Amino acid sequence: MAGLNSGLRRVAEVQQKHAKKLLVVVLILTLFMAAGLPNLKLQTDFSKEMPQDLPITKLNDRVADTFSGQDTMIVLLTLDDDADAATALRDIRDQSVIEYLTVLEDSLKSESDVVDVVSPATYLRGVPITSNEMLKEIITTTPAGAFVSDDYETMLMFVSADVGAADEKIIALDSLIRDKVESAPKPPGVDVMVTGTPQIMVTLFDLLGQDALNTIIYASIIILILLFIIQKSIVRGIVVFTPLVIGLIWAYGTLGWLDIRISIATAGLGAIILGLGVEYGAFMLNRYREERATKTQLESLQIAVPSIGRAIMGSGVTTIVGFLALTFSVMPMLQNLGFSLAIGIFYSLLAAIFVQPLIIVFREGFMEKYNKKKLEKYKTKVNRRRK
Amino acid sequence: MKNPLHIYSHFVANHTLIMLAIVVVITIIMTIGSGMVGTKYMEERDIIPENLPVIQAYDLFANSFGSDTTLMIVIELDPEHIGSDEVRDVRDPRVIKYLNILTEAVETSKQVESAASAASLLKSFNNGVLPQSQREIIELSTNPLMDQYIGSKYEMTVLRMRLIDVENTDETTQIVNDVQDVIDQIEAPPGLSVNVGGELAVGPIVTDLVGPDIQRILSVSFALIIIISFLVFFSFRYGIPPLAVIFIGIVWATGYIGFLGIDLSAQTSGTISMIIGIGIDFGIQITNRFREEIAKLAPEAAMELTMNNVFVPMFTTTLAALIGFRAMSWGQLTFFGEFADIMTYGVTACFLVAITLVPVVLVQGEKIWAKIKRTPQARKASMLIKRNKEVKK
Repeated sequence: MAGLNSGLRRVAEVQQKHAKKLLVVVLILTLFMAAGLPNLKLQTDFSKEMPQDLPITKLNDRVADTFSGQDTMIVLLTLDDDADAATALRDIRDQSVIEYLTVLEDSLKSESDVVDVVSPATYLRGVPITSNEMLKEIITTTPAGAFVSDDYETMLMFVSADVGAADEKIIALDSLIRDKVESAPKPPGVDVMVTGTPQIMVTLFDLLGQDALNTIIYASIIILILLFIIQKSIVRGIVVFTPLVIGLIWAYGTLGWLDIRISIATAGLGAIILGLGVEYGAFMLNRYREERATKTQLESLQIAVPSIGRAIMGSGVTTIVGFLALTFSVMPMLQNLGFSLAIGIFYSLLAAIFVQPLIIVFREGFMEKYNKKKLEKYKTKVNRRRK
Repeated sequence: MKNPLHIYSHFVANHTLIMLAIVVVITIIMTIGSGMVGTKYMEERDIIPENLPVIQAYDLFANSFGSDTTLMIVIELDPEHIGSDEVRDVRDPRVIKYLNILTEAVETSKQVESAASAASLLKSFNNGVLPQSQREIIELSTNPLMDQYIGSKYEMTVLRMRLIDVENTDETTQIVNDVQDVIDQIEAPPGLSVNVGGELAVGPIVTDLVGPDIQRILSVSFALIIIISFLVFFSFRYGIPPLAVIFIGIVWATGYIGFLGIDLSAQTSGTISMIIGIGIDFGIQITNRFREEIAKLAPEAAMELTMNNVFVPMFTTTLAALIGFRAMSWGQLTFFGEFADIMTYGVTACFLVAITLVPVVLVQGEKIWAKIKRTPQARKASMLIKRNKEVKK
């Protein structure tokens, strides 16, 4: 304990003596970590978040490999209740709907990523249909019937595609299907929707990215306001918040460099790190200010850094341990969550102990110079007036 | 007017037994709630808001046609003996016949909307009659629709089931068990491996893993935290109170979660360990300060001063942590809301336990310790005082 104390005391001395140089080092390190940010990827494939060595996971992988990892997208044709009563269809088993499906089916089948398209039109090709009544009868007696809902309001088309878990491919195919759906001549009073597991994954992909960013923004705004209120100063609030942001950049940068994907479990990582890490910096600044009221800058740092450093290390280590315990889970998603959070808290600790004092010293030096300049300007102004 | 914090600090330091009684009653109630916490499986669509067009379209599909969640019976070649009559090609008439029986059997299940296999397709291609010879089967299998049911190397075939929309994990488990029963009851031709597969079959297995997984994580978490707690204080006497925060805090949190009817999923099961990591801090802060004050003051006065000093910083850090968690719940993914709720309840529970139970344990512990540490003469004197009191009565 004494060794830690004297070590942190020495750190405080170096921080006070070489604040600017060390800030440059921090800046370079932060830039290096920030360079890992573009490598960050989102993990929307739920199956990758589950234990990979389970027999069921392996079986499903074999099935996916055998059947080319086909994913089924669903094109849903449904009667539009709000459509003009005079022209709108009242039964989806209509020749115009089958014609639409045939055109759509042919158009989709011409795409290389589309493995197969199945709809009632598949079973009715080459069958001479002269009336809707005849169509209804044929639909009832062939497998096409399975594609029509019991209330005859909805009809289905399955589009099998070889997109796997590649998000870009899913997005591209989704927009392709939507384009085709729009370009084919749609029967009056019929709504066409596209859904299915791949589309849900695309939506998840979008939401995950948005949420990962938005939750950080929301947490930042509220924590900043809280800091402004508690510190009774905007500048001091920013002094506490800056190392937190640096810690966050380091954490996300590390994830990027280590190729750990942001998943459903880790998308809220930033907000949690901000919420838990803010106390470290707040304690450090408060203690420094308490000491600074009666002591020199160096003396204040020599007291604040070791005493608060030890306290927040104790507190941070327990938090990190709680998070690291998650790495003992069998679920990859929890392992990543535990590791990512532990990294985040570790960096918040480092930033509070090693970076925040530098910002405090730099800010004090800056304010001193600024005040000096202001005073000199004021003096010159007064002297001019006197002359 | 007296500061409410000072009033509370005075009360908690001087009425430890009342506080203990309150904590015990709450803990008993929450223990009942803890027993109600179940486990569940979360799919992609469970974590996406229901008002999105893609989800609304999917719901329409599920309501009209049943779910597209895949449950399948996977039949793979698994020959054991060279030169035996075991199946070597899934287009073997024995396999098709077996598939036909399986398809008809699973279709009788209430939760199965429809079932499709190579056998049902072959029948539809052959005027409703199951082809009997391998030559016929091979000829009919050239239809591209068969590619979805028979692997290109003829080593695997699948029976795909479309289900009535399954609402919860119990229903999923039920249907998976039903299908497994069907597989067990119908004898497969030799040289085949038959299993339940598909996304839906993963749910019950993962759900079964959640309970043991939580136990494993908690064991590691508790073991590490206990070691750290004793390392921080180098004392059993002061190492135990912070642990009370997490033990009782977890009971309170899970009890509340149980009463609210929230089940833990694989995704949210990690929250308990996170709560432990955050919650232990509250106990350490109070114990640390109390240890400083007890050197100079009586237990009650030391606790009063401790509470007056640590309450505000503890409350502030709790508030900041809760802001972080609440910010998560403002995301669009519904999963974040549940995760944030559990973390909020957990951290709040630990904070409440820290300001109620820890003072009791520390003050009472100090008094008991003082008694134990008395010299033999002092203990004898104490006994004499007690006996005199009884004689007087």
